[in-house]
Amino acid sequence: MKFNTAVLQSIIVFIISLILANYLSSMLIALILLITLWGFASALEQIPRPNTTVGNLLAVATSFVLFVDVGLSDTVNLFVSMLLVSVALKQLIATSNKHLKIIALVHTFVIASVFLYQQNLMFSLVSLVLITLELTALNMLGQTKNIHLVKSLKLAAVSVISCLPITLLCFLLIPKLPSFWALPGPSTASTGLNETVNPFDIAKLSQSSDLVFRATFNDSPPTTPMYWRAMIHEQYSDRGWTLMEHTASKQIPTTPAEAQALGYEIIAEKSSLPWLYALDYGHSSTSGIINRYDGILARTSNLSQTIKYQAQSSPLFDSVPSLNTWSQTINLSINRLDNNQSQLLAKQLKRQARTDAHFFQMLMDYFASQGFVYTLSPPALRGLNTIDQFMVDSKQGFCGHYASSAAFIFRSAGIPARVVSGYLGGEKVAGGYFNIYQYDAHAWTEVWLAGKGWTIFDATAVVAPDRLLGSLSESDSQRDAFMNNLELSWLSLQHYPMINWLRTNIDQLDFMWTTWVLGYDNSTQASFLQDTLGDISPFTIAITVLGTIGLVFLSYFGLVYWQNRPVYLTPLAKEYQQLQQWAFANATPIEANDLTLKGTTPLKILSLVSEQHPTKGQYIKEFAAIYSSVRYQDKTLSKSQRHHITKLIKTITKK
Amino acid sequence: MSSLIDNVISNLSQVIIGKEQQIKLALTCLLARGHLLIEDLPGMGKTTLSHALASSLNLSYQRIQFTSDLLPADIIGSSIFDLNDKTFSFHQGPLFNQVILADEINRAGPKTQSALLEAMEEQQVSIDGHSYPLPSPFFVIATQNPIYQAGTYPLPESQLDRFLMKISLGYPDVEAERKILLGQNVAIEQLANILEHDQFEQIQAQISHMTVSSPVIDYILAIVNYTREPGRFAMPLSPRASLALINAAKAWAFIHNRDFVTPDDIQAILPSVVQHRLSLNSHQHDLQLIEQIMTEVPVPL
Repeated sequence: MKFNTAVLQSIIVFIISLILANYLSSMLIALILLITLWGFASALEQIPRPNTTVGNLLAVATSFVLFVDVGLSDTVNLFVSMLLVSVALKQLIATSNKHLKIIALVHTFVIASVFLYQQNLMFSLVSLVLITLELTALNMLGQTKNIHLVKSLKLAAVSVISCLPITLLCFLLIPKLPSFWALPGPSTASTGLNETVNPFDIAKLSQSSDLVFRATFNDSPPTTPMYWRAMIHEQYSDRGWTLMEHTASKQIPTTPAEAQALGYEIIAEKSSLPWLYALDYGHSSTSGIINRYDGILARTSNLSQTIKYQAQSSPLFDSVPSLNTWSQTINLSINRLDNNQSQLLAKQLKRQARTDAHFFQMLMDYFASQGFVYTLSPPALRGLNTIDQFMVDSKQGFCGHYASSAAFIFRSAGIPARVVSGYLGGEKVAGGYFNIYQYDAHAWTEVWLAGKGWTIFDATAVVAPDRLLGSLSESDSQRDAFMNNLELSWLSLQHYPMINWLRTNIDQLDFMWTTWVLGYDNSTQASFLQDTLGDISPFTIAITVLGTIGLVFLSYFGLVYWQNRPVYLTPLAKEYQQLQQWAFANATPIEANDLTLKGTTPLKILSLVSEQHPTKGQYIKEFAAIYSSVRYQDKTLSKSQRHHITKLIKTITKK
Repeated sequence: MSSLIDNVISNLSQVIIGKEQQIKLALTCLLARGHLLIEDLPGMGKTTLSHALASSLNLSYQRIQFTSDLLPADIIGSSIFDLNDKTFSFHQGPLFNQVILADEINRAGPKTQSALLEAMEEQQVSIDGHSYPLPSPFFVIATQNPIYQAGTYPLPESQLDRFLMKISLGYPDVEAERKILLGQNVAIEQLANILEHDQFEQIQAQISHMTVSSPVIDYILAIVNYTREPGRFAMPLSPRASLALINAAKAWAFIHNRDFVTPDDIQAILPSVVQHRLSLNSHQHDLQLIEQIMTEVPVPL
């Protein structure tokens, strides 16, 4: 087998395609993998390379798939796909070293494009490995006859490792410039929250174990169930519950009083939505975050990268003293013609209820007593009157069913209510922080009670009480159903203690990576610099930057000098050269000519020098004797001889 | 021991006047168990030198004049039918001596040349299915006239390689020639036998046990690899040549009263050892190339 640069480059593209398979069009990825396999086989000289016609046909075919399957709207995915396709095709037809060099250059962009999708520890390590492989490929390109994979790999690893300290230095000290242009985040298929809640036509809740965000509490975490609010669905239609578009500016958000607020830090993973997460009535002072009047945090654009923000929460019911008529109208509107049985139920309960709070309690009791079942695989309910079908016939569902139905019934009874979606609970990790995964996604109802304000109504609390205690993964009664629904992941193996230990520890490593590396923004850097340099003025920053760049250059030149330093592998070679240089400096032109004659042996030169300097002849002869005994008679240089040599050289070179 | 060597050298210098360097080289060759090729014009003292060497070292000596009609049997010997015993008995040829002077070797036909060269390589001769060992030590000192002279069969390269060294004597200087003319040189018959046979063998053993330090080995390797670089020589130096270099350098060091080899020794014997192996015909050109090797290959410090 001929293992060469082309083979290694095929492997690299193969790995990158597999990594990006989750994010890009699967048909395109399959095509790229096939092309890469062909290139791989050609590089091994098993299969001939395609001729020009076949190559052009392939290019046309892939372009077709590219534009049909990826489309023009999703620019980031389009460009990454184009890059991958073109590099795979180029590899297929590459024959000369020049081609392979160009491919190596393009590969660096391809490897970097992985960071458009993920920036976690795993991906960073994988890209480091890929860069090392790429350098190995380049090293192998330089070898004409025998290709040494291990040697090239070692060389590449040494280059990468020696770059790491410089990278670290630049990372810590060089100010992070704001991006000159904003790259739209690639849109990824999300399995988490949806801006529309309509659970009734879902027969099986597909679950993902992707991380959504991590929360670290400044003090102790709350003891009550943690309802992480992300979106408020106020508008009801037969399609389900949707967001109101124009409410953001209607009211002014309130800032929670510092004293009673619960403070925490969130590291949110990228998502295809702009919504952030906060407990109860949330508020954040981190720049770039919109504080909405209803306690929801959001950003102006989708989360295209991992972000970190500080948030405070105050209890929900304190937040809005009264409901204005506009909100009231919105939060009471239903289609009076649909779901008659549920409306009837609402009217019955309303007649019996003394107050809205009493109605609240009675509806909770109704859910508790009428045989409702919490399940992750409910029967699909279609057509009109889905709420009736659920409330009367099936009585099986998950959070979305209960939240939609309860909100409808409250509205039918004339009590303002809305559906809120977000996440419930979270897995407490040994590192003292909480991990919230996609499968923790939850929907519940918020009801406006006079004198109390917005109050959480979650029927799940009575139907499946243990769901409130922590993450869904920790819920005993739902475990089997949950595991059945879950995609293949670490979590499905969590009952093996060893694997669970590994899972939590890797997660902690990733948490540290996210906090320290991804979270190292300008403000963190500023405080770091302040801690290390004291007060920051433009002058100190300039000095630091110039100093850092200077240090990088110095270390580079230092490295180059160190690599080219004269190496005295043999004993006395250095001393001999000292003498030679001295003799040359003290010789007449004719003598110097003799001394520099190529191919003259050391002993001959020493004897020449001793002739040229008769007064020092004795010392030079002594040196020659020791030199000859060490170099030609395999005698070891003793300590006293070494001292003697030093003395001899001093005496000889003295004026 | 080395005073004996000094005696041998001064002894020989009485016969070959003004050629101390060549005498030393010839002696080096014999002490290193090698065969010697002397190339020069007629009348330069080739025969005298070889005869004097044998005489000084107290070894049995036979001169064979190679001519174009010389046959292998003439030098090896032949089996002759004995009428009384009714058997064949082997009659040794002139080759069964310790020092053979193969005079004008390139005048003989190839067959005879190769018979001699085979004997040099194997230290024995084979005839009629019997092997007869040659005496020990067994040296061949061959002389040859320059190739451009009439009536010569040049030795093939592979056979030239069998000679450890090739030297030439050259014209004597005026002073030396004056001495020769005045008859101040000693006749070979008057030369004293300096070394006894066992002394000679002892010296040879001592030389072959001499160790060589790694800088010198590195130097030899650098030299042979230099000649092996593509495009430099038609016939680069073989491992046999590297061995020849090291053995000759040891003997040279011994002659100079040392028990270790220095790069200077290598440089001293280098022209004699490699000149005939690099297979170039012009003597002058050869020396230039060897000069080039010595200046181009750096000496390890």
